[in-house]
Amino acid sequence: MSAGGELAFLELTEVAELIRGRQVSSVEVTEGILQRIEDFDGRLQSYATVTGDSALEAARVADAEMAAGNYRGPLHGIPVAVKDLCFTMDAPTAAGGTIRSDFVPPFDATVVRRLKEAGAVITGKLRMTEGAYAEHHPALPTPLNPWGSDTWVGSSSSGSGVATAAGLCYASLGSDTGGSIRLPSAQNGVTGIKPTWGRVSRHGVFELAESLDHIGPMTRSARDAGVVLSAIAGEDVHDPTAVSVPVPNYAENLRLDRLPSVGIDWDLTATFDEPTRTMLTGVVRTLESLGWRVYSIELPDFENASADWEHMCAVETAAAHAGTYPSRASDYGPALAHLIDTGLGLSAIEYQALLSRRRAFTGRMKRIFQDIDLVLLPGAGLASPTTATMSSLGTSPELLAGLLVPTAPLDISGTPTISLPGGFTERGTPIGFQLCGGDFSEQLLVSAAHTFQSATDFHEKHPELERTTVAV
Amino acid sequence: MEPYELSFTEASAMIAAKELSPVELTESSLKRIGEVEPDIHAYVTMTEELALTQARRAEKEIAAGNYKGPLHGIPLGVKDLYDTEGILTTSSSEVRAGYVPDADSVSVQKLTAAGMVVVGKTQTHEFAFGATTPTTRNPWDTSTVPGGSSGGSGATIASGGVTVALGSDTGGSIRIPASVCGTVGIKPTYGRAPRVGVASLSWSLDHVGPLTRNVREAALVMAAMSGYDRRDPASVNKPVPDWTPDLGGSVKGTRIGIPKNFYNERVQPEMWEASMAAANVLEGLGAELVEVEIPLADKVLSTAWTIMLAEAGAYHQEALRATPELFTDEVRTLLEVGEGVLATSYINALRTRTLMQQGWRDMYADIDVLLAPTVPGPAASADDPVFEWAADDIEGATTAYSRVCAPGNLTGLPAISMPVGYTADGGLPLGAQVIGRPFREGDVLRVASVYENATDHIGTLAPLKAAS
Repeated sequence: MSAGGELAFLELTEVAELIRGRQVSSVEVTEGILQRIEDFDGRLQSYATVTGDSALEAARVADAEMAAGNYRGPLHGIPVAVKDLCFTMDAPTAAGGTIRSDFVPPFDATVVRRLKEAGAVITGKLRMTEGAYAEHHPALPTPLNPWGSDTWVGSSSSGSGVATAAGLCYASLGSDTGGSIRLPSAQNGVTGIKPTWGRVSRHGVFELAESLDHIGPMTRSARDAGVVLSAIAGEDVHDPTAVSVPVPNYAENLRLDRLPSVGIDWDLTATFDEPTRTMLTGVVRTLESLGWRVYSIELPDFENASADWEHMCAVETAAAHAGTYPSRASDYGPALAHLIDTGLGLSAIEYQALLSRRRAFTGRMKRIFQDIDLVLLPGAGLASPTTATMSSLGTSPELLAGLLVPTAPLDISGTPTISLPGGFTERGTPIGFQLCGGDFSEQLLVSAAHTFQSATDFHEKHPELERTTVAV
Repeated sequence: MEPYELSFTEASAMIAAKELSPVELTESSLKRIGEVEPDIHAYVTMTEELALTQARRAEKEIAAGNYKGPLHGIPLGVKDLYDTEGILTTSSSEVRAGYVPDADSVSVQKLTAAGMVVVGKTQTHEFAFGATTPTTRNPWDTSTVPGGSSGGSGATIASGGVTVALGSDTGGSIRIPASVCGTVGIKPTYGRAPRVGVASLSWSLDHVGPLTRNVREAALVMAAMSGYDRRDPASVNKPVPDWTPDLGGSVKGTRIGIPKNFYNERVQPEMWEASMAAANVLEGLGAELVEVEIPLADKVLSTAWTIMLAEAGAYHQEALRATPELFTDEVRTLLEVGEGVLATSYINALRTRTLMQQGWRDMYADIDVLLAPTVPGPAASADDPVFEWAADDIEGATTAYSRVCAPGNLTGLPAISMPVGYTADGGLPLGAQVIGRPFREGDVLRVASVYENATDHIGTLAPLKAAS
């Protein structure tokens, strides 16, 4: 069997079964992925660094371990790529910027170490917007959306979305501060989890805004996301904010104990564009056909929370970049520089007003889940916008706030959420939706999304790729 | 013996047995306050009428067999930071000279519901932003300060006015006056007791709790003030245990941390020695003393002050714009400094605090409680409230007092201050604090009560003569 064609688009869980059954080796699968990167990524530009040699070495080790009867689990021997803000000892970690282009960290991020311990084969580092904020650094390539080059690729985990959608890895890691896992998941038609804040260690992950940053998986199915989350989640002595809540195997038992109740805020829904509303209506129909009860609910003020997000993020970003900004301001792109300048200009008193609204919003959000299991939201505030529409994202607060309405408030409250494909635009590009739940409800999210994906095939559609043009 | 001289436990037992009327006790309390007030100035407002009405009601209820429990009929002083319905609540500031709240703060509601009798509103350092309470004098030596910010509460307990008075603690404001006035004072775990209706100094460091003459009423009042309230965003939904069964228990096997650093630096030798003598008493009763290193000690002062200045600046922003002239020069200056704190400085301080909390959590792996001096020295001169550590090293009393208390606020850990001795020269009280694990108020109360039973330091009134 060859990883060049259909094998590349199998779900992680499916290829894991083939590897475990010795029907295909990790080396074959890894070689297939590396070949696809060579074939397609010259055009797509999803990888910042491809770690082909160490990947093949890891694949050989995995094959040897399995041959010796030592099977580590569903990630064993599986090619996985990580966003370029995760520290890796064998490859630079530039976080989408130019200042750290030669920075090779002295240790692996906890999430990378855990992937390796689970047997995963790390194929490389995925491109992202500068510093995990809104726009790509002007001096670096922007990944292309495999569904259409004029469709916005999503930010900030753009490379993670592209590589996962294009079959250039079986799973990837992204990070989400205002929507950075969910926006590229929606834009590229993949499944992503932004876990509860504190569920996954941030140790060794370059910071955008500490109290808003979340690390999570991006995959081609909810079950795959559960596999990766199970590997990376949990307490970490190096990150005091990673909590000690036990980590189940999220992919093991995907049967729902009971039919969940789902809430949707129709007033908020009415503020989104037509394709988004149509998609949500379709999702509601599917959920009802599964026998789930869908209720009309009133969410706390997502629009104001989204409008507050930029300032909240800005202050923490300014603190995180104090070592290089403003001292090396000329090396920064306009979007990130604008964000940091905004943060540097805010007073502690203004910041506390934000924190006070954050506490109130978070408290209201937590209470929602006392009455309902899941809340249905779109994966982005705009349905599959074009690159032209998004060209001023980093410097237009209104555009940013509108885009982030369904996503950023959940970073503010730390609420866990899963984003998955739920429809397509007339152009044929994917649109996503989110199911979010109470704190540490990741098992419910994975099981619910898996149930939806068992009844639908949105997640099984893949983009048709153009080969990299090779000059003759 | 006058009723005001009775300990809380004695008075409470006599009231329960109908041997003492709440009215008699309240009248005695009011009379004692009246006698010493010209020298002490502990109160902003006396509430004689309200007190007598509440006392008569308590008397009737008890006579009718409706005894509510050990707080029923006991006089209470309320720090003027706490809202009291229909009663002037000035926070000892001209800014609120005419403020009469239309509802009681949650603490006052809970305590009056338990039958306590409000005798008056005690002085605070203006808006709790200072640790000397310049309006008030220390009953142990009226040329000295009572500490602060809950200075009126400390002073009225030490002079026999009440056995319980409310305080609030943002940088030590319960424990400082407790130490300096020779009373007990407890600050609970952050989130344990709701602060609804209490003027804020710094919301992420503010705690409410009582100052008391002895340990038992500290346990009872602290429990009565505690419990989840959704109107306080910091409030934690945890059951409130009855801590009285812990009192007078054993310290056998209790691991008491003795700091190797920070709490013995820029602290007067007899202050440190009194704390260590208390530690030795407890060791003699079976406790194990364990030396510990205080983490990130050099960051305590800058972290606490950055957070406090910024949060106080936010709380008072409108008043500072509208009526800056009504603040005292001292507090106005602090608030103006707060306006200048950058958001980035503030979050860096919040992050340092998180690291500090983590460091303390690790430190508690080896100990159950920490024992240390509450403050670096005894009551400072009211005319010149400073500590002189060396010829060119003079520290203002507010900074010095809160420096040693601030870790309790930054970590949010429960802490009790108890009297452990007196200065050789002048006989001023010296306090030590016992700091426990989160939500383990029972531990610090137990250790304090064991010490209380083993010595005669706790429960002593200042040898103050009535004004002539």
